[in-house]
Formats: sequence, structure tokens, C-alpha cells
Amino acid sequence: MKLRGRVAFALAALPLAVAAGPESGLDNEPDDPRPTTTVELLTDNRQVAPGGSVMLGAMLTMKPGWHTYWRHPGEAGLPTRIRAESPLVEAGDMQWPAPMEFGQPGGIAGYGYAQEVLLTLPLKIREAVPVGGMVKIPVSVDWLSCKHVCIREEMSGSVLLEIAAEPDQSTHPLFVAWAERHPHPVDPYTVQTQALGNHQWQFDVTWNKPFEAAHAFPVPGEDVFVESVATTQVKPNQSRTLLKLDPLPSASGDMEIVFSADGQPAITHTFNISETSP
Amino acid sequence: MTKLSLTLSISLSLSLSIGLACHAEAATVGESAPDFSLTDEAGNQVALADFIDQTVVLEWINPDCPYSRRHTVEGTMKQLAAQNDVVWLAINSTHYADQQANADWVAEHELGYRILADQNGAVGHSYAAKTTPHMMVIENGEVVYDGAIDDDPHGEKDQRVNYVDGALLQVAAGESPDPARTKPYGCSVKYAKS
Repeated sequence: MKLRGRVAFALAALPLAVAAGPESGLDNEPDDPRPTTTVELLTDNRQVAPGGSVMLGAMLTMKPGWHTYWRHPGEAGLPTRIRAESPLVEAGDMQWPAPMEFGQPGGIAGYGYAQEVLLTLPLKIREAVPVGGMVKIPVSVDWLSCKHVCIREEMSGSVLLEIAAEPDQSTHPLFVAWAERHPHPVDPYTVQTQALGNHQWQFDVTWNKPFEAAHAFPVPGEDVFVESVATTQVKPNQSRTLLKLDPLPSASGDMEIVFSADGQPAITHTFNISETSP
Repeated sequence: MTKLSLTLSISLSLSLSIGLACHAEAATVGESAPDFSLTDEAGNQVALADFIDQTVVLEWINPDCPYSRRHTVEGTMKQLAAQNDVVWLAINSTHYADQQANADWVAEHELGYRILADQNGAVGHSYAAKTTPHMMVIENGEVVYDGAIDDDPHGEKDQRVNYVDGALLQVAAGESPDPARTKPYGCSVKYAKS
């Protein structure tokens, strides 16, 4: 694969705290300097115009059995963070592929990634940046990596961007591939939402084709607790998710939930948690 | 694209997702605190019932978790325990952490409070402890606070809101803590596999 957009990379990740229990075996031992996860920094294009945008990517590659967390990590864990530390750019919100669900001992829900994931951060280049030169954008990434123990790791690196009046329009193929795993909004008929009362909701999702596995990933705010979430298959191409929330009295407004099914684009859906049963 | 394809193919093999932890049988704010009797780092049996007339703080701890470690190193809990007229009990529900491991941690950091071993996780489950750290405040035998130690998971804020400190001040004033529930942060409790 030709990686035209790969302008800079850094492989070293530094464990902030390294520890391992007696089960660790070949895994990271106490004070083991080897990271559980390596990170490569990429951009979707090596050129950008003043005032234009570019996508910064952090490709996390995790050792077998280790995982890192989604933007809502579930009942434990913390999300990975990417920070571009330069006055030349304005960063947007991180973008996340649909996660997978971890089975953690004790029934503690965990949402995130195993093996590898490309997390992205949109960067807007300031208008005042002159055409014709290269700019170096320092980037830091930190994450919590867990297996039998959890280790907090971080890396620092940079990406180089060429400031061009008419930048190349090509996009790094990895960004295209991983963008297909980002949840996207759908028409209201695809997700039928029903408030059942007592803070319970039912979501019937009609998929483009039959599936074997489907999942739902609620994204509660700080004042909403997820009591239970269960997804079953009711038709070859339809999943049903029952969600029970435990909101604090202050909770109101919209809440997001992401649905995924094997081999199909993931869906993001919002619903109003103040709704009551009909 | 080989690695991406591999990732996708593995995700296809996942089965339908059912469930999340059920809290129905676990202690929640406003309910009675389940009693327990556990062994501390010195080998003494410690029961919640021993402290019926006192405010009790439970701290789920795991010295191998970077969030627990940070608070130990920063002295967050040690300071709170010393400043307040409370019984502070750390509970280690990590399945591989025995009495000696707890004793080593107490000695290394001159913790000033006890760590109780809960290797089978029974007490952790009875309180639905999710993370390390995960904090509970018990007053008059009732759970009155359940959640995070503070509002700073990464330990980066200049000014932190310490929820447990606030809860203890309110309890001392005869008030109910507000907030009574927050989302705990940290590593998942490393329970024994069932």
C-alpha cells in the first residue's frame, strides 16, 4: 500500500504506570518499558490550504488481548485522547469508529477496540498561515490499555503539513476505510423508538441485510446511568434493543445510542430521555 | 488492508449482545449498606457492623491500577481520612491481591488506613463496585454517596471538586450529600472470573 498521506510518525509509547499481576505470563511485567499499544500519527492529506481542513489520525495497534476505550467506555475505563498542540490549528471533536463490547469480569460493561483502530481529529488550519511552507503540528495521544491489568500510556509526536494554495485532493486510503466504520445518522424509519415508561426504551432497527450479530452502545451523559442494555434478533434483518436507564432527577434532553450489526454501516440515533410511554 | 480486514472479520464473529451489569441486588444510594467481614492487611477481621455509629467511607482500591496509584501517591484519600472523623476502609477486590500484597501497599505508602482483602469479590459485587477507585459513604447503615472521588479522572485540573469531601461535610452537617451519585472512573475492578 502506498501511504502518500503519511507525513510523520512516532512509534514509541511511554507507559505512565506499568504493572502486571501474577497472570501476566508473557505480558507486560512490572516496570516493563514495552508499551501494550503503539501509535502511528497520520494525516488524510499531506497538503492543506490556509483556512482549510485536514484530518489527523492516530492508528493504535494493541497487543493481543489488550484493549483501549471508546468515547463512552462503559462502566469503567477512560477514552483515548488526541490533542494537537499548535496555535496554527483549531481542533474539532474526535471521531470514533463503532466500538466492540468487552466481556470484563464482574459483568462490567466495556466498549472500545482491540487489535487496531484509527481515531481521528479534524484540524482547521488558520487563515493566516502562509502558503508555500511546511508546518509542524505537535500531537499527543494518551489512552488506558487494559487486559488483566490496566496501564495508562501516552505518546508525543508530530505531523508535517505542506501549506498549499491548491492542495492535492487525494485522501489517505486508511482514512477512507476506517470512515466506513463510523456511525452515521439514518432516516427515522430505520430505527423505530418506543418509550416503554419507567425509563425504559425499545429500539427496533431494520438493517440493509440479514445479520448474525448486533450490538447497541448507549452514550449517557453525566447525569444518566445505564442500568441494562440488551439486543436480540427479532427478524433476519431486524434487531431489537431494550434499554433501561437510571437517570438523576436533573437529567433531560437528547441521548445518543449507536447500533452496529456485522458487515453493515453502524448507525447513530438520538432520542429524548424525557419521553414517557404513550 | 489486510489488518483492517482481519479486524472486521473478527468483529463479525461476535454474538448478539445481551446485558450489562444488573444492579438489582446491589446496594444503591438510599438503601442499607450490606454488612461484611473481611481480613485486613494485618490479619484482623473487620466487619462493617463494628462501626454502626460512625460514618464509614469505602474505597475500592487496586495498587496495580494507575488511577488508584495516583491517588495513593498524591495522598488524596490519606488526607481525607485524616481530616475527617470517619472510618476509612479500602477494599481490594482484585482477585490476585492477597493480604500480603495489601500489607506491602499500606507499608510502602504509610497509608494510615486499612485495606481489606476481598479476593472472591463478594463484597465488591454486593456494592456493585465498578472501578478503582470507586467510593461509597455510609451513614447510619445506609449508603448516602456512591461514585467518583472527584471530577478529575486524568489528574490535570488545577481545581478539583472532591465529591467525597463534599459528601462528608454535608453528612457532618446532618444533610444528605448532593450529589449523592456520580460516575466513578478508573480501571474496572479486576474481579475473579465467574
